[in-house]
Amino acid sequence: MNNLKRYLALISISGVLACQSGGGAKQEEKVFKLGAVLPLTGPAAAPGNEMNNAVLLAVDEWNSSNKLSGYKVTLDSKDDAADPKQAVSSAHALMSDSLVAAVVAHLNSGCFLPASRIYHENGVAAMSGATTNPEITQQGYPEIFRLCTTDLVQGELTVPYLKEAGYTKIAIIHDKTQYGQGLAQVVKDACPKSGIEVLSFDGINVGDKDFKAILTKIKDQTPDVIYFGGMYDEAGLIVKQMRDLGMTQQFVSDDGAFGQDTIDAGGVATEGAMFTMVGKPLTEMPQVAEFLTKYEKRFGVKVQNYGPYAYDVANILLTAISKVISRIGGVDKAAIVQELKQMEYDGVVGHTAFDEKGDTKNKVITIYRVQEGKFVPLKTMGM
Amino acid sequence: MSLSAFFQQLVNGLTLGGMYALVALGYTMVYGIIELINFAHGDIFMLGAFLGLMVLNFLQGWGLPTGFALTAAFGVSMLLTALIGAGIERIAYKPLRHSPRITLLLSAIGVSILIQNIVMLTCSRDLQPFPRAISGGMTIRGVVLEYIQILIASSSLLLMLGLDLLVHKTRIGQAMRAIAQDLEASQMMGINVNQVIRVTFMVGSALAAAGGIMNGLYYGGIKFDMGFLVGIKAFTAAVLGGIGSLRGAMLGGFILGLCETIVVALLSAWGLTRAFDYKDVIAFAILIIVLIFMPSGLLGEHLPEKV
Repeated sequence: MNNLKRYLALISISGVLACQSGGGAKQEEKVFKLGAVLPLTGPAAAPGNEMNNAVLLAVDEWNSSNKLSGYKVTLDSKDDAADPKQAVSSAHALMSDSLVAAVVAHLNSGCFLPASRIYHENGVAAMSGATTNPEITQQGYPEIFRLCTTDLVQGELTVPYLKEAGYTKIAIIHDKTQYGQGLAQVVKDACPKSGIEVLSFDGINVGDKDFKAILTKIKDQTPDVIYFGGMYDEAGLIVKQMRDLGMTQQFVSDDGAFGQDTIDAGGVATEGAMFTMVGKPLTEMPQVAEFLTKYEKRFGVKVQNYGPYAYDVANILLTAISKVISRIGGVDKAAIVQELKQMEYDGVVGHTAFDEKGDTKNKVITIYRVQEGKFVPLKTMGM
Repeated sequence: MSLSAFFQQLVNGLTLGGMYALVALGYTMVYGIIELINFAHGDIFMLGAFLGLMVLNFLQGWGLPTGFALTAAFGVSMLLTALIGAGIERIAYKPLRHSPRITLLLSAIGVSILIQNIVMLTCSRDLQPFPRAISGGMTIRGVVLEYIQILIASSSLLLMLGLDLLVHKTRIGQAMRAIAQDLEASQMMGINVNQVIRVTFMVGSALAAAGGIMNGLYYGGIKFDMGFLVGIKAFTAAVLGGIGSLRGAMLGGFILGLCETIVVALLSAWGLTRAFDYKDVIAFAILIIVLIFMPSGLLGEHLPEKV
């Protein structure tokens, strides 16, 4: 009886093994994966899910259009929860799967910076549509690309605009993250050139809700404009608590706070606040209308911020992969990286080509003002 | 620092402290009785805020006056949260009452994660705007004092006094103190231990719910992970004041609130340029210093009977 059991076990195990190896060999011929590591939960879950949805839209379109020479692509989304530690472990998990041909990478600079090394070590192209910290592409990793302009561009274009608008004394707050503090530092460094006096430069904690102590101190210093480098919830709460404290100064923030969540958190207090966002306004982007309708039809919500960027990132990666497939008949990771280097792509956010560092050559930002609960573009600036 | 800024920081600190104190009371009550650090308390606080928001939105949708809707929101949310608190105690803590402390603690952390994820998945991941049902305030010589701030600070004080009365002047309070001293002996004396512990959890949870709604009203938004940071801070306040002591929780809350505001502002005015960056470092350094010299907290020793 015992022997019989053992034989049966052996037979069934070998059967399973046979199935797996057979199945695996077949799959490798026809399927590859597009990885995505985005904040699907946590403080940046709203824009993270928008980006993930946009990528999903692109992947489905490529599959139904049959432009991948018989290949099918599946999306493998991992969560980084806007947390650098989680980002690194998700990147490792993704890289352990050899089917992953390229990665739509991260929303947060703090996540992409440590994870970029992992993509580099595995030779897999990773492109972000939203991380703006300059350091990311300064590491010299050829696999790292991004579609958004950096904080150097954003910070240095914001300051002259503030000068032009007549502001002379600025108080700067940042959220101590790679992104928020990095951008705030660029703004701080750019101020003397434009003749704006920096009264203070203070950090707050992400997740805190009470900023009245710091704002009371700033109120005492009588600036005429307050700049915040950080993200939605904190931006909304800061502008609201400013108004609660009777502070009437102009509030200016960044692309990380450009979204409905800021207005949800800050309510009517956000009226008149200004925000910078990378690229042109959605209304001036070529071909964007089609994407917006498709997105709204499929997901039932409106695109708020980085959806178009994620959509283009996915399309650029898939275009590069399809070119590699048609050229060499298979998915080769190094060839994909080379293909991206010389890519010229016209997508929903405009014309994209990459410089030697992997940054987009399309260096434009737009400044918006909140009017009646909506972001209204004021001016588009480029360098 | 100008005088108006000084008093404004005082108001900021007292409001923040009142918020911490409200949550700290719940921690300290439960700890006082069964020596459990109820890590789910911060999430019960969050749950109370979400339930309150639902009632508020529902009633305001019917066009009912704000005052009524708000009272109902407090009432319904506190009641439901009290029941949920009792349920959590029954399912997650009671079966483990005789297990090692660490098992109970792990169970509490499990409940915390569970509540957070349920709210995140069923309600929303995003910040939910909370109607500013109590708005307005007054400005005295440049110092802004909002009505909601007065409500937060005064209600935490009143609730502390009420709890103090409950614990020291009522029969069930007497039973709580007896259980705090010796659970098994109280059982032998015929005290219905299960019932008393259940009531403790219900009262603590209802308080947390009230705190959660006030938090939403004050900051104008609530989020599924809002309980974590408040929970940690309130727990700190309870330890600072002497965990197990109601007055200590109150005192610890206000001290922590003042440390994060006026103390930091003073340090900054005296030339510590990055004082605000180090807000939490300063607050927690004060906590450590106090605990070195008074290991059982500020009021821990003066009140030998816990609760």
